Amino acid sequence: MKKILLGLLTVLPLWGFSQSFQVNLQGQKQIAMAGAGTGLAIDEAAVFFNPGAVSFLEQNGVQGGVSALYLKTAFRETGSNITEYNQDRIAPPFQAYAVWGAPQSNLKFGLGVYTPFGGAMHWDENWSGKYAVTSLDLQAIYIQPTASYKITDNIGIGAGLVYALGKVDLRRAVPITLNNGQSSTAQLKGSSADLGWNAGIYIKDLFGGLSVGITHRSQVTAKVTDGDAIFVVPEVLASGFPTKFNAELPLPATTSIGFGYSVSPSTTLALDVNWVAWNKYKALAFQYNNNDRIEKTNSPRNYKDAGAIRLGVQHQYNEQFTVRAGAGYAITPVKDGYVTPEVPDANRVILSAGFGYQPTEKFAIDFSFLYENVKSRTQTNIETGLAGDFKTAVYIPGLSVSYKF
Amino acid sequence: MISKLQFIFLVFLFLTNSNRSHTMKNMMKKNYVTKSLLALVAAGAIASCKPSLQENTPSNGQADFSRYIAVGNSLTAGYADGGLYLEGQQNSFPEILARQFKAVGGGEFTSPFFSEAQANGSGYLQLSGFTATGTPVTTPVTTNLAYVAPGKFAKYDGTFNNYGVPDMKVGLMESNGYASNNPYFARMLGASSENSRYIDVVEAAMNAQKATFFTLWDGQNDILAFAYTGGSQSLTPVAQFEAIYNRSVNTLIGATKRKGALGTIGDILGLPYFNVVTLKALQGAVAAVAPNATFYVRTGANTVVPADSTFKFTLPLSSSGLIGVPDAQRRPYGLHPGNPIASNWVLDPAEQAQIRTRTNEFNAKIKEIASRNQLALVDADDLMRQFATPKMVNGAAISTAYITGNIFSLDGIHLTPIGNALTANAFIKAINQQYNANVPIVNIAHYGGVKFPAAAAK
Repeated sequence: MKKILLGLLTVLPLWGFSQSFQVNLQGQKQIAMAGAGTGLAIDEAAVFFNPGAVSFLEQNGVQGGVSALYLKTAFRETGSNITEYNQDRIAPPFQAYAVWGAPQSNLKFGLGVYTPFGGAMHWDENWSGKYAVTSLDLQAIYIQPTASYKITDNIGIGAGLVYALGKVDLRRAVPITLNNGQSSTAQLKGSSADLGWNAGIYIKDLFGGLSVGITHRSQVTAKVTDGDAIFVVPEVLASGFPTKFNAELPLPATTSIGFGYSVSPSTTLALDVNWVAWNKYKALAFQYNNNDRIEKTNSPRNYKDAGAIRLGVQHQYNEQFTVRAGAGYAITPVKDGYVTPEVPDANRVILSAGFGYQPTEKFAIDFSFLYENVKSRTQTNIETGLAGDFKTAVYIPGLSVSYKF
Repeated sequence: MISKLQFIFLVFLFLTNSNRSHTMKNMMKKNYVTKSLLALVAAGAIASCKPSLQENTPSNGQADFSRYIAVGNSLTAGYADGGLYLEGQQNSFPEILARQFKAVGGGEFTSPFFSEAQANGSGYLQLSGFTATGTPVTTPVTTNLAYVAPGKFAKYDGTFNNYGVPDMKVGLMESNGYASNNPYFARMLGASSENSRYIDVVEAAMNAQKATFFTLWDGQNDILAFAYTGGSQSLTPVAQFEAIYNRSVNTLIGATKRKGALGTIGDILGLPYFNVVTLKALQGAVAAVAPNATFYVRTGANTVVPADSTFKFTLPLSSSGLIGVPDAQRRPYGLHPGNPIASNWVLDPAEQAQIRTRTNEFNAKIKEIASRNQLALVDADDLMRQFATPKMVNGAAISTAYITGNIFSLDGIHLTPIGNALTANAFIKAINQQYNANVPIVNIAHYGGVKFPAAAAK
């Protein structure tokens, strides 16, 4: 099993940013509602959104989905008339869930495999910020076995253990000129495997058709040990450069409260508020096995906690068709002076739409489209001095299929 | 293109309206899925829309960049690594500047390039490695040179805009017959008399080419000639410097009231040329045979004193092969008061003070002349001091340090392509400020530093 998952890890690069390098693409129905779903028990994605709601799912089911994340960032150095863009890259964050249990049992089990953090940012090798970063591929796959118990007809609790597999590949140019006139380069590549947890409570019909969910997903500290530090530098200097590195990256805790409200038997509103403990991301630090030429690097990030609000609506037209839409707003955790070209974050507006088609009782397919408009930001990075305007737009179509049994 | 928001809205309308009729239900079912898939394809197409930033429109402001002439010395010529060669010429700051001027109405600009066949021009230094103690080893390039006779180049044929002449002093701009001492100047003269004065040659070219803009960055050699030689040659007197500089600027402005930019003289004592060979480095080199050795130097005042850390030594001393060599009385060079390091290798504190004072005096005059004539001014002295300790430029630590600092080439005095690009950006900033223009800056990342010997991946 582990082998398969690790295999997946290498073939499926996952990424995209929904808030810094957090990716909020964990269920196609929920994506279509701007990512709201903590206060709902609509499908197997509750394993992620609220383990407490899993026990309220009426049928056993499995689902798998994937999104095609397309993120485009424009950068213009202050004083320049040239706008540089990151390279085109479609990233496929995915999600897969299974929920099962005895039909009348209050106890249900779930399994989720999803990608809550990641990023793929590739700039031209000679772009103006090349000494800061040329590319970052960051990937995290969470595997989460879950148990959920319905305490009363209205209250369910649940928790899951998270096994987090991470992978990082960071590249930049080094200002040492090779004989061919090109810059030297550095590549830091490594993987991690760490633990975390996810827990939630779901209260159905609190009053007048209102349900509430509260969840907490713990921080996972991705620790890369003995990662490969690959420096392409002049041979005369090579012995002074490291070959291995250690690093830690916090994948922050998220606390959410969500509400679901049945306007009518066919129409449901969902509202989520997320709070992400980004303040734990103080610095991106690398320790090397050879410090002759480069010291341990410690790039300050000093993120602040940040929230997001997401409002979604789902309307079931008939037994086959359901339409969904949503809007949200996410506040950036990145303070002025700390915006970096690998994560050119800013506050963002989120708009979404989607629909579900259920031809039979057992089979369903859901489509979503998410658009994120990241505000433009004029920044001078405190560490690198890179100054300019960033503007990002994200387009994410996605689909999932599910089967009930 | 419809806006992204409109698109989302349309998709939503499409989805919500598609199923309004139950009688059409079966037909719709199929259509619905097909159309929805099409909508996703459309979404993909929209994904090719790039986000756009607010325009930064280049503008020439009150200046006319249509014909730019560069005036000055080796720094203007693109001299680097101890020589003038094609690659250095191509990366001179005026060449970079002229490329940026093209966005604001600048015309063609060319330098008196060496041909591809003679691309190595005067010859130059290459970094070939490091000694065991980390001292850089350089090797001269001696192939594909441009000499037609010792110390003589073929005349350059054709018009050009870069009049930078290596070794040109302000004090020599009005000298008759200087070409006989300077092959770089002689090379530029074409059909003009060998006796021509530099400023007249420049003036004639400016008039012939209907020049509209100029840069003048000169004065460094008026001090360097003294500094290179450990104070053996004289500094240009201030009054002479001011008079010639002033007349030259008036000539460059001319009857057509050309606009332009002046540059001050950088911090001469901050050049790697005077900071690589330190007392500590000299002591380190002899530590194996004479730990904590005392070095004796002859000062400019012709006294012999033990050197302390305030003394500066010139870069070539390290490769001169003199240190420790015994004289007839078996007194090791530099290590015995009877056989001190000669004054021409040393800048003692008094000589350093003279250099600093004279630089300040010259720079005060340059600033005064710039301000009086409403010309843009690049304070190279100030700029260079900002890089005395590493400063982050777009993620790269850049400094005035030898080789690793990326600004100065192997000769420790002239600029690398990165140094030239930083200089060009400093000129752009000053020009934009003075003339209310918006000349776009150049991308530093496209330029390199000192080239290392052929690399291999580790």
